[in-house]
Amino acid sequence: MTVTLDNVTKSYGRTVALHPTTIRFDHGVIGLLGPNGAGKTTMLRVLSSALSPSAGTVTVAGHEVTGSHAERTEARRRIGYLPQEVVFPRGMTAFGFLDYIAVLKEWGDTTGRHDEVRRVLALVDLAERATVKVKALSGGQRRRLAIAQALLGDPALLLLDEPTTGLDPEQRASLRGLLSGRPGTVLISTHQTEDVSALCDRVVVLDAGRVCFDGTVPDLLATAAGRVHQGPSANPGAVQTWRTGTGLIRSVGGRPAPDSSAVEPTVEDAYLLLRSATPEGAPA
Amino acid sequence: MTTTATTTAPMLRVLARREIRHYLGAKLYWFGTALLVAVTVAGFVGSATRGAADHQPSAAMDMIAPAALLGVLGLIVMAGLTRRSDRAAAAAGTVAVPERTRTAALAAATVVPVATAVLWYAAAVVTYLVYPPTPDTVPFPPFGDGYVLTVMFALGVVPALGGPILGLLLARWLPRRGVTPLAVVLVVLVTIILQGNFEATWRWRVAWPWTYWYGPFGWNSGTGHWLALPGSPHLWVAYLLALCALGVLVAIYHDPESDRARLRLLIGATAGVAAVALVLTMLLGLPEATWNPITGPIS
Repeated sequence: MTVTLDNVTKSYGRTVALHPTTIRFDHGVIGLLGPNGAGKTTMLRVLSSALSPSAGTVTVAGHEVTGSHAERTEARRRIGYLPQEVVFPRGMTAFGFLDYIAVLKEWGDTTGRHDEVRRVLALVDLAERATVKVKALSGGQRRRLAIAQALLGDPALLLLDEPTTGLDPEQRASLRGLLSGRPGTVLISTHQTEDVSALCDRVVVLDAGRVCFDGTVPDLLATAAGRVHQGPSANPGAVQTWRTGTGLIRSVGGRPAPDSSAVEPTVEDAYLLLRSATPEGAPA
Repeated sequence: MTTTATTTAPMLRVLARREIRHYLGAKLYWFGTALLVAVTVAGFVGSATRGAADHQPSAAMDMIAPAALLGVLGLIVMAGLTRRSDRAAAAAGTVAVPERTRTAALAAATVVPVATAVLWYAAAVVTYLVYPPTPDTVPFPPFGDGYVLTVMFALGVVPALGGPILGLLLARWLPRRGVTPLAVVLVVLVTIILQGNFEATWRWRVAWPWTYWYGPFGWNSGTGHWLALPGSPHLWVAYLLALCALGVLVAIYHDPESDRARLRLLIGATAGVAAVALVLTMLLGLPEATWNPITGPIS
């Protein structure tokens, strides 16, 4: 399964949400990192065909999302998408909601559709809540229900916009297990850098509508090697500093303080350093 | 990898069945139907217990109940179903079934109120035949029972189709909070104004989809004549059905991915049919307002 964006741009009036971008996603779990307004959601919406790009072409498994209606429909048949914010329809049960979405995803056969709905409900651990009205579900359960709809039909391309928002640590771990075992392509937009380090084969960092990093997690970590320190005092000129639970101060970037020692960087450290290198992310 | 969705059954049919179930699950629909049944039964019983000297029209000739309970409430039900469908599609972000198919499926769900209205109509026709209206009401020359039964169909059955389609249309093009109740108020207000009380509106009042065709309009000192207003109710039914088709097409047109060029042609053609039917409604049928020569007490 290959997904490509070829010179894709998206503008909202005068605001450019996505500058001309050419990128290819193959098999694996890919993390999209970036601050709010970086263009992550725009990229996912364009990929999902929910949003038309201002220019450029998007191809999913050889089908042009930006092409004819038939091509777009073929692409949509291969996509599962979790939007960032989901407003659920009123009066439906968890099962009824998924069953309706399954119909919209062209599951015509009732028996097969119901089996599929039960399968995805079990995947997100909501089988016991199938007959409960959506409005009676907790925030985390609703989020899992929204994830379940994206999993319907086991799509070749899974686009998840901040899937772990509202999930507790156990549910997050469970989701990681679910996604890590999937074949095909999974694109996750997230602010949770620990999800990226735990799950992703590849990281794409977006900033102000541009790709500013594209590589593996070790590649990203390598950019921060020797630039994160811990000691009794903060590094002068550090991008970020904070007192850890041990009482020592962790400094990301800056000149090493005399009594500090270099520590293993995390994805978050690398991300902060990457951000500080861009005009938008540089500390004031 | 991707589990192939079973696409043997055409999706419109599957989705239409689903929307029909949703319509049948709407509490407001059942509320309206229960009230309609109560009113219809009460009308039948009332006709049976009234004497011939009571100078009453047949109880079956009151079309306000089906129009309000299936048509106006249907507007609210359908607007709600459309919003629900839109929210579900938005929750999925992207789905293979396009908006126009969902719209067509929702339109197909009008079979529920229409079937209910047809049942009401069957009961009304039986009531009308078993307990015909007194000679001082309708029918009177030059028209007969067919005229009255057509008006009953136009005012009692067609609103059960038109009301929900108006709800679909509004939910598609004006999906804002408060639009549905406002539309209900406006429909009722305009209907009151254009029910034929003002002579100046007699000719063109038929442009509005709900209006009276006859009634006890001579209200002087307790006695009066029944009056039949000009126009052809048969062609009016054609006009109303063309409006319904037009409503569905305009609702489908909302889908930006639809074949809009072809739809524009269809919309234009249907609007043309509606316009012709409207003009013919005004020009054919009764040329002038006609009084029943037999006087009776005003009911």
